[in-house]
Amino acid sequence: MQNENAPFLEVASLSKRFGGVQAVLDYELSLAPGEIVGLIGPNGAGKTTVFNLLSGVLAPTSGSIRAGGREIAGRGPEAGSAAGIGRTFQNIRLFPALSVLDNVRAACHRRLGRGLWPTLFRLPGARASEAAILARAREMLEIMNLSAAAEQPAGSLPYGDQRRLEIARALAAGPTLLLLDEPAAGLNPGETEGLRQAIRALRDRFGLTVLLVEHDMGLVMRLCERVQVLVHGRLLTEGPPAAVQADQRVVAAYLGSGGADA
Amino acid sequence: MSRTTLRLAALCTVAAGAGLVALAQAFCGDYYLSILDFVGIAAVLAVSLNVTNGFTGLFSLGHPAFMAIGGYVTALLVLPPGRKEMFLPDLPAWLASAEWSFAPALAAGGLAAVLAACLVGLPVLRLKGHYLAVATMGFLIIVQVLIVNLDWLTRGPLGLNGLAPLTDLWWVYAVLVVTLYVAYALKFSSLGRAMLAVREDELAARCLGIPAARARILALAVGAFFAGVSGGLWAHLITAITPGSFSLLMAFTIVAMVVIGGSGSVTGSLLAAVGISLFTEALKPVEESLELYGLAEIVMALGLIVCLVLRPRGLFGSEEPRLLARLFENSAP
Repeated sequence: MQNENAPFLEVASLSKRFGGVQAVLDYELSLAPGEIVGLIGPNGAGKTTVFNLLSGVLAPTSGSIRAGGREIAGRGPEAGSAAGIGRTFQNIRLFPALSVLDNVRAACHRRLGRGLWPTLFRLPGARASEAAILARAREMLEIMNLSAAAEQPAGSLPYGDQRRLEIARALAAGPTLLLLDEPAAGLNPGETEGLRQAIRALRDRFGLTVLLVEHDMGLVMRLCERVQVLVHGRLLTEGPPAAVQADQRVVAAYLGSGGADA
Repeated sequence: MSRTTLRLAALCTVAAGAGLVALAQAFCGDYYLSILDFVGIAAVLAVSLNVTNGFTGLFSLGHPAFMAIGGYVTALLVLPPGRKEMFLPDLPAWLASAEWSFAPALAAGGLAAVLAACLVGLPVLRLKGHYLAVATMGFLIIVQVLIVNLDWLTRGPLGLNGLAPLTDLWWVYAVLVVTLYVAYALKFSSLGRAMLAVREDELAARCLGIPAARARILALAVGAFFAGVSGGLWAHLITAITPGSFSLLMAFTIVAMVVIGGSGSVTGSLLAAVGISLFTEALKPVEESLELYGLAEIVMALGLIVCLVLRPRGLFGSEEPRLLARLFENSAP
């Protein structure tokens, strides 16, 4: 058994190459339980590739990912989920034809669902399981303030609600670490502030660890306790938000290095 | 309406259906009875294919292959030893002497189809979309070729004829009720929602820990079971079974029923199957008097095209009537 402060996630020299393109090189990350960390960098820096590697969507070319003491690199998204990693997607991926409630209920299946025979013969265990799933799903909708829309098809929700539903759905699977890929993209300032409070509340309530990719620097600075900067697939620097913001190399990476080709 | 009332109403509906079956058996002529049998079997086929194609988004054209497997297995188990000796002298002794009654033979036919589904599912379900459709079509052709060539087991292209006319409306009705129960119970369960999630977005489902490959195999196997049972019913309704009985045309007909009714809607595929097969039967006298054979198929193909253009998700989409959701949802305390 691990002790309380041991890192939940440890990533060592993680690399991914697509043909001739080195998308990520020697990426390192250590996340303690309950930390909120931001991953920033210019477009094309490899942030989403890092997320796809961490959640098991992509297999790395080399390197290791240990979550909760288990090696999950290259074992697929099911292994990532089983180890306690949940995620959202940059271009929202809901189950559009299912109702908002059923989107979240589907996410409870791994932990609470039953197999074919209990389902068909309606054994007592199946009834208890369905009741537990319904209760959990309603709780997640309540937390993300979506209860009123429970019966609507997910595809018909306004954009901001879809983003929140994706978080509710990821939470329902019971992750220890939540990867949020640009959660504030397309939100107005009011919605972004609501999102910031919601993420904080989730961390305080469930002890959730959060890693987020975000382009809204205001949100990153106000929410994250630590920030990593990724440029051309390599870690440029890592530290508290204020220090990273003041780092001249970070500014240069975002604005271009100042040469004639910038 | 409370759940108890709802359950009572459901039981009354099933009983009323049984009453109609009794009336039909007593008063309908053989011709009309056989039409009702075919309509019921079509409904079983469409609803079970909907579990495979509609719930998990597989596009399988292999349903008739499972029917063929179930049909031959049922027929071989039911056929009296005397006739088997005449048709198939080279059968192994245990099969040659087998003379099962209809119900266990139907179940065995269904299970044989499940076995085939698991064998073919493991390699084929890695494929998606059009590739999967072509692969399942290939499976159907392989099964047909095997049936033609395994003379000692199937009597080759001649098929098995003179089967006992065991299928009546009671059997068809009973199988239909069980099929509908299984489809609805699955749909309104966690397992069913996991299947629908895989259809909607496989990657997102897998990131939530839903075992997509297992969900697909399960959906294929459940569909195959009822296809296998339908094959047994079919064979003992027309009292003959040949390699050509279960064709690609039949696969097309069942797929059309599922698509028109709405992929994912059990109610939709039930209504579409009943409507389309009644319509096809009604058109038969017209075909004969005008000598325009195949008119029904043309009309159905046009109907499919119109449906895909105007209502691509089918008549019902993935929806079911509210009452059914309340009847089958198993989450009441």
